[in-house]
Amino acid sequence: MIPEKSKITQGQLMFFIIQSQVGVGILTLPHKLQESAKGAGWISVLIAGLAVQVIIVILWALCRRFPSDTIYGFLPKITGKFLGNLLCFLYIGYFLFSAGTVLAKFADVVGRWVLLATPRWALLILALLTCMYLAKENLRVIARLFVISSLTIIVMVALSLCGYVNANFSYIFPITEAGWGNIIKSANEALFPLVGYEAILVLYPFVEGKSGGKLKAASLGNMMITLFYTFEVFTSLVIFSPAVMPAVSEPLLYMLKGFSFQIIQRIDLIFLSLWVFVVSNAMVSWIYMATVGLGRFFHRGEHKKAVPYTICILFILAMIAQEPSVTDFYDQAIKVSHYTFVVGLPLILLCFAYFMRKRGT
Amino acid sequence: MKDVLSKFFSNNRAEEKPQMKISVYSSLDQNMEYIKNQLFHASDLKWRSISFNQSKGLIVFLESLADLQKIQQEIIKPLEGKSHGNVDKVVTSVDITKSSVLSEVPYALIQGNCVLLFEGSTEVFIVDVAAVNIRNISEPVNEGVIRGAHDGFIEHLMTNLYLVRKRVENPNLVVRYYQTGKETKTKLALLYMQDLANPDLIKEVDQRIASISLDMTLAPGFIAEMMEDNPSSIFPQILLTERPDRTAAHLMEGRVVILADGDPSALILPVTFFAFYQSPDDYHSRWIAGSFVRLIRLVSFIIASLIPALYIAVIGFHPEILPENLIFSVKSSIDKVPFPPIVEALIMQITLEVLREAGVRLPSRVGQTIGIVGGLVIGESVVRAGLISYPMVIVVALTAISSFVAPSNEISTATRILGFPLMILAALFGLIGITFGMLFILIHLCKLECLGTPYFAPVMPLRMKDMKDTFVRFPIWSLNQRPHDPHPQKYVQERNSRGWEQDDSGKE
Amino acid sequence: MKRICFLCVMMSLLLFIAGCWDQDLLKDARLIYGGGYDPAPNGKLRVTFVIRDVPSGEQQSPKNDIITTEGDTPRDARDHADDQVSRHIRTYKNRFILIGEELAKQDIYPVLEVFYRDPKSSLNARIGVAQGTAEDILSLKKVGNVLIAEEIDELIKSKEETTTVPKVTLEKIYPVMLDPGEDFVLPYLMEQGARVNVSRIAMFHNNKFTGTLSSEESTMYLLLKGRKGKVTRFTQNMSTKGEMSTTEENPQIRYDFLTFNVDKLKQKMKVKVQSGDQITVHLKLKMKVSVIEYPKDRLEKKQVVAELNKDLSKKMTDLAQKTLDHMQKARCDGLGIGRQLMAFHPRVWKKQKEEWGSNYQKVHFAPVVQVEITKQGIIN
Repeated sequence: MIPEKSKITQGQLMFFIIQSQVGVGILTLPHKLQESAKGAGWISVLIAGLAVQVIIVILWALCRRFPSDTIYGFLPKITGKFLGNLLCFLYIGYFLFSAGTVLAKFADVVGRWVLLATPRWALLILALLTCMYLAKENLRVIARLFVISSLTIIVMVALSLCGYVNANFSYIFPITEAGWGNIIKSANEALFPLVGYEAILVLYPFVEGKSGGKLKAASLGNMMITLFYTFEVFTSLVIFSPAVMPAVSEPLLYMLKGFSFQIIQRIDLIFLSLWVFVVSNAMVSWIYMATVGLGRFFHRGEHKKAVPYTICILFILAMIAQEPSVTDFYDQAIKVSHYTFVVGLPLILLCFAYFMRKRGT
Repeated sequence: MKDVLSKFFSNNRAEEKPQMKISVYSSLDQNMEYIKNQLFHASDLKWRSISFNQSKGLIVFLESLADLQKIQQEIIKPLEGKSHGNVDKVVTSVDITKSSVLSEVPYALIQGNCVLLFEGSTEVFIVDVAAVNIRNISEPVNEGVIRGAHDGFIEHLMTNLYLVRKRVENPNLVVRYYQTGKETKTKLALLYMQDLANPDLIKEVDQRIASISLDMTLAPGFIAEMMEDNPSSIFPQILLTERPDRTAAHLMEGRVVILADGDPSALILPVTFFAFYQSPDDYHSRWIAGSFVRLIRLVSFIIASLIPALYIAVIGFHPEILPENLIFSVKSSIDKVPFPPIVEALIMQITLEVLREAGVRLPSRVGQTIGIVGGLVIGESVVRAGLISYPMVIVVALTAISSFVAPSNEISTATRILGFPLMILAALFGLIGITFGMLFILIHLCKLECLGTPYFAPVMPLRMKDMKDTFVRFPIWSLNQRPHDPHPQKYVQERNSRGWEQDDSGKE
Repeated sequence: MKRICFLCVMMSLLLFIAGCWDQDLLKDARLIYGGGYDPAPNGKLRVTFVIRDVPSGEQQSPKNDIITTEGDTPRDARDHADDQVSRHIRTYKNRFILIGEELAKQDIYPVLEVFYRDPKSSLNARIGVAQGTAEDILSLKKVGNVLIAEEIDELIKSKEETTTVPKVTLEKIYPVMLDPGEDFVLPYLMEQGARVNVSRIAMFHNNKFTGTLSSEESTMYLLLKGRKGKVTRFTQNMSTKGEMSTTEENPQIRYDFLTFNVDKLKQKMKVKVQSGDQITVHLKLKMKVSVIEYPKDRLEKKQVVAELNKDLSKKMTDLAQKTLDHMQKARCDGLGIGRQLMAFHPRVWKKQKEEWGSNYQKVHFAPVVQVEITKQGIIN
């Protein structure tokens, strides 16, 4: 059923989850959290991480009942053919939409910080061609690349550590200034940069090993990313005073901009260049999830034929998103669809499957 | 696209003429007629008449291929000495066969055999008397090492096999012959360790060699292209070497070696990217020194491909990266240059490639002069005239030197070629372009697989145990396991070679 | 399928050849090395740019080109300057910004805002306040053998190491500028003879220039903040009243002076709020010093050293008190008392933040400095 070629190990699953989760959201996260949670933004991230962990357990429980099917396989089994296929298409749409949002945000950030005059379509074509080159391959190759790209996260942590020279820890006090209510509400805001763990819905059958190990791998990946985000948010909070944060949309980049080593200056350019690796990987992950579904319906199981169509759709999605109103709409749509498709629906499906005692082979 | 191109380069195979088997005629003259016709009355076809067993006979041979001494000593002398008896008992040659198929005879003659024909007999004797004209075993010119063996393969297949067998005196070393090339009939030898190499690998290689159907096989390039999984990739997937010690080392790791007659290169497959950066030097020096040198080699790969692109990105897009002191000295040099940095870089790179190619073809007497011309004229005068800036010349020189650090010529060229697309991307998008380019290359390296071995192992897929011999060289006594990428049958290669260490400390 | 892909790739390649949009060639740039800002009549700004040129030709020394223009805002003035300068003016290598005294007395945030918004600007440029007008200082063109731009930049850099002026760059004061709980200080440049003198600190309150600290007070302020540079030297007159070392043969009083360098510094600051919202700040400084110059000698005697310690401690405490008084008069909350209140005593801060300027003047500072001589050089 699943060819041996496409199997990945649990370690590779962990890195896949890591790379799916880290996207563009981390750059603006401290700014958004500061608005609502003030000095306790980093606590919100931890709470969001815990929430994600719970959701991962729900998804894992659902996938565990159908160990050799992706979500596109077992969805019709639970809800019947017509509704199942409809929901599958909705899932494909959600994945594509997420990919488009990531791409649009990436083009935004690069267009504001580095390539100010380059037309958007040029940058999009460049990014999409590279992603297409990778998304065509089978899962094993993609997972291999993800493992290596995770090195860039270590480099980013190292670069962020440089900022502690100017840290002023009194900026985060008093910690509960915003009140616990707000802190928990901001966890909702912090959830969205952590999105990406739903890859487990599509990857579950491809991973070798027992189901317990898969849960461990996914949880470990989520935990590492949550810690990474917490660290970054904390760093930004102690370096920029609360009065300045509303003005600075990407605090990490801003902090690195003022730095200089002996040989190079403008470290934020280096950071952004490394960032490209991470963002492309996130996009490839979403594209892969969508094309597995498309391949199943249209191309007899080969996901690589669906990739060029996906690329065109993403190009259009990202080109539309140039006005702030459209970007806001995208954000809202992602929020709503995330809760429906990744939290709500699997929970309902799990209950259905449990009560109707549907199990896969 | 492929259909468009294929119309221009059609690959229709000519119809094969069915081979007819003709038996030996009893009449000597008829046989000779046939042989002469088949060889189109070649002028180097010679024959000598002898008499044995009271019948006339002829020794037919090609004087360009046969060793006349051997014919005289092993065939003529014994036959003349003993005037009757069984031919194959009298002739003292090592390799003597009987045949009754006349159509085999021309081919046998072409391979350096001589044929004994007797009047009235419908059998011919084919005796191997091939002349061997070989050069001495000497160190390969392009793969010298500071310390280590200084012998190298030569163009004679037997000598090459001798060199390998001498190093691996193990009955498990299997040698299989193949003949490729329909018209040239080049002899290939496939070597592998029976107990180490993966049987699936052997089967696959065997299949690929058997499916080569060219008229002429010019080793090693043709064979390499036929065997590779991705011949269109810039990166070489087969290691070509002229050193027997390197070949033996790879054999012992479970890889497969192909030797061809008429060429001193051995093809080793499957290999990973890091095999191209290993040199026997590393293993003969101390492990820290060896690790240091290997790290420098790997860094040189990055330097050679990235530095021109980085130069273009920094000077053309993000000059603010440079610190103040540097930027002003660079600026003073650049101000004079009329071209944008991409044009500068392209001109210099292409000039460098031209120089390098010329350097290979130069007769040695003129070599010195042209070297001076290349260095002084192109380097100094171009800058003085204000056509290229000083930093550009430095960049290009660094690139050139770094690309030649790699022990393998193929990867040097690959590194230099890699620089060009990166330069173009840098000229279009600056640093972001370079990053996308590097991502593209990384994806390509990830995808590349040769005969089941991932190309970028042990980095992708990540195997920490195999890393001991990749970026640095750990001491030999710690390399307990063979690398996993060729999937050998046995993994353990070293067992506690320094056991005496603990004994010593006990004695204190 | 493959054909379509190939065609797409070809087309995009052809389009790319059309241009490299973001190209910013180094050779098309004239780099600004420093800028000075002064007020001009009608509420305009008078901006002086120093452009550093390296003329082509072998081994020629760089030259400075000075341009002065007027404009409504800094960016406006820069565009006017571009009207007069060949090629493009680029400020990504800007090394310092000098704000004239008069302009600094007004809010400096609007002047600096453009640097924070532009992604290509140089955020690690230094800032300073110039006595008089920045234009005058920059018009010196050359100080001794060094061009004015380099002189200012390197002068400030070296003074940072001797703990005379704070290490401020544009980036570092950005969070402080918008923070109501803390004020920043900047180096103060003066013109003396035909040279530039950097030895004092300019104090700010609410982004407005409110006063300066003398050279000794500047060093003491930096020590109070816990920011010691590589070298921190004080020269104090140790003579007690009535006892003079001048004699007929030796009319110098140099015998009484002691120069010491602070090797190690431990700084503690505690903000205490007592009843009635009276804020007291306890500052404790423990300094381990080494004697550099003391002609009176006799430092091998422990008694002498102990006495010197006591004297020095008293003198340093007085200096600290003087510095803090000065700062209070100028309303400069350089130690971040407001931020401490915000973090640890939020109720008090809420009451006091409206009139923090005058409330700050009511804060009671209690500095205690302890000096201990540990090294003496190679003689006693």
